[in-house]
Amino acid sequence: MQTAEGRTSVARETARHNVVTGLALVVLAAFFFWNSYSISLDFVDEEGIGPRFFPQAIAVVLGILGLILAGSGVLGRAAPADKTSFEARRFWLDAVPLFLLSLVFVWLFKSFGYLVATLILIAVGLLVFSARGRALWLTPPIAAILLYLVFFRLMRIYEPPAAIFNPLTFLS
Amino acid sequence: MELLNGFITIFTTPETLGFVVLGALLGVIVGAVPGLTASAAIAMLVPITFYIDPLSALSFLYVIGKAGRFGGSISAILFNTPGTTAAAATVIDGHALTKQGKAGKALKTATVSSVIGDYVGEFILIFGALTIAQLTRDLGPPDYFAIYVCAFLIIGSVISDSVLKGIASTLFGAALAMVGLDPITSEPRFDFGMVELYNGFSLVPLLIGMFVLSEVFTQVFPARQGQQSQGTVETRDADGDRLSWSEIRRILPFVGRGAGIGSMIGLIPGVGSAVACFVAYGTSKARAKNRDEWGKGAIEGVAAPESANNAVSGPSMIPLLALGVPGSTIAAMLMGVFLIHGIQVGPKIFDTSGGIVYGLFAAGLIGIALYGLIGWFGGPLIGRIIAKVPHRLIYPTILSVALISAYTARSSMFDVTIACIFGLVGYFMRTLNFSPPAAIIAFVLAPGAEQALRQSVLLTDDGFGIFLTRPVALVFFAIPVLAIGIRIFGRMRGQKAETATQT
Repeated sequence: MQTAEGRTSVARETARHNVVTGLALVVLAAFFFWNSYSISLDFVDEEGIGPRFFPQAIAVVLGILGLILAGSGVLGRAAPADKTSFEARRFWLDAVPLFLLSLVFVWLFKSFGYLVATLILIAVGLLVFSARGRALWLTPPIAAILLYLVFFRLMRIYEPPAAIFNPLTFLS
Repeated sequence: MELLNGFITIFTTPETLGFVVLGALLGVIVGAVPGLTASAAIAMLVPITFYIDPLSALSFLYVIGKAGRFGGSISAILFNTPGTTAAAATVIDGHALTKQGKAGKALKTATVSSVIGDYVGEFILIFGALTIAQLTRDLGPPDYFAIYVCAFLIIGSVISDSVLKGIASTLFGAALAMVGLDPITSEPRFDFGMVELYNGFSLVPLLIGMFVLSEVFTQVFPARQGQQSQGTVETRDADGDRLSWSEIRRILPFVGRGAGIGSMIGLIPGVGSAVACFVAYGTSKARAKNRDEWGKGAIEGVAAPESANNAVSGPSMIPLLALGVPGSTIAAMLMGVFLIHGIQVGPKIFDTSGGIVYGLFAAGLIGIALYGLIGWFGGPLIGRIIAKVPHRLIYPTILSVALISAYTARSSMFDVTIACIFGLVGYFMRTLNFSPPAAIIAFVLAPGAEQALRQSVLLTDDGFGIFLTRPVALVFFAIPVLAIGIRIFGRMRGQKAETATQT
């Protein structure tokens, strides 16, 4: 059971998060609205609604909602059931390493092909998830081979040529 | 007759039947793994289905969705951890039964209830979709725009804990859909000079990012902590493993009520199984003669929510098939598959692709029976296997499957990068209490809504005045206003009552 003090702390944290997310929504809406002016009106008829209308309408409403969210957060108000769970520590320790690992996978796939990219992705992923011992050594090759067979052999997905070197071309 | 043809098609096409069987098995397993939802599994598998025939593809994903809802009950009952949010209410009495050494009885109750609830929902879909499709054939763009607005606002207002955040999530999804070619003039919008954005974002990387990668990102901490004590899967005696006829008769009224509630909730866009199971649990407990036993291990407490959460499945497809408006995340994904295979969803689908639709209905009915058999005979075994596989091995593998799936859809590494970025966006949305499902549904709905609005205004000289001359449109505009009004009124009453109690 959560204490009254705990509930107040969660509500305060939620309100603080809502201020930041509200402002982020306002910035996003402003960005969309500003960029909507670069949409060409060359082929628009005199009658009817142009291609800028819908994006601008969405941006305006999103911006207003962002302002309300930020404003309510500043006043310390939030919907009773609205409880955020964002923790900066967890974000930097959990989400960011996996996000960067995923981007490294993209670069490795382009540069060295499927095999190297997938082996490294799974091995480093296992380390991030604190897997140790035999699983750390066995899972990457087994999973990489199985996925290769399913995606590139069974489904015949096109594997792009590696920009630097693909060990699979050497093996085959 | 068409349904019979659907059955014949499924049974005479080994590939389609194989995908239905695989979907039932995979759905139960995926649903039983805590943290891995049927939506996430379907998101990963959508690109794979581009390579198979439309009926097999749709049947496979549809059956995974059904079996996944049921699979969530296995980990809820055995490990006190619902595999999906749809099984959140099943934990209460289901795990209490496991602690009494009656895990088998609880699993069989969940199986029977899920199967009956799902059949009720599926028959409502089969008869309801065609009836509604016949009624909506003559609707024009203004009516469709009103339906889209209604869906946007209903989804936004009910899907999240905060109406404001729910609607902001739908607007965010709609804003993403504005990237790409204008639907009327074909002029590029928001492509920022990038060739890859010329046709807009593809649905698959968005799905994979927001549903799968964001889930993997949030599971790092729990997986590092290690799996919690798994409780006992073994039963103490034969009675704890059996579900007698008298017990089945005892739960039937609760199954019926749950199925009714689930079917009604399934018709409302965006509400979903998680709400249905708690409404069914609360309503059924209030009417139960043995309500003192609820929470301590009453089989009725497993039957009502399980029946309700599966009954949602069929009716939640009605808006998609009858109107072309997806009312749930799974329906939005299936709409993507329909479109990829060149099938236009909406009221005319029964004329243009009737064979596929009735084949899908037949696949649903077969899939329910299959996951029922898997659950009845293999539930405890699946539970034991999942308990033994460490989650720290499952999630890195899911990460690699998800990234490769993102590539598979269009053989594009740009799509993989987009999936990574939306993984982070999805992480923020989840932890800051926004709704990724609302964003995805809006992403799918927005192009249709824009087209309908612009066509409506072109139909008349009155501009927006055309909506005032269409009674159907006015009704659909009024529905969300009423729904949001009721929710805000309820919240204000709750706050007043709380203030009164405090003073």
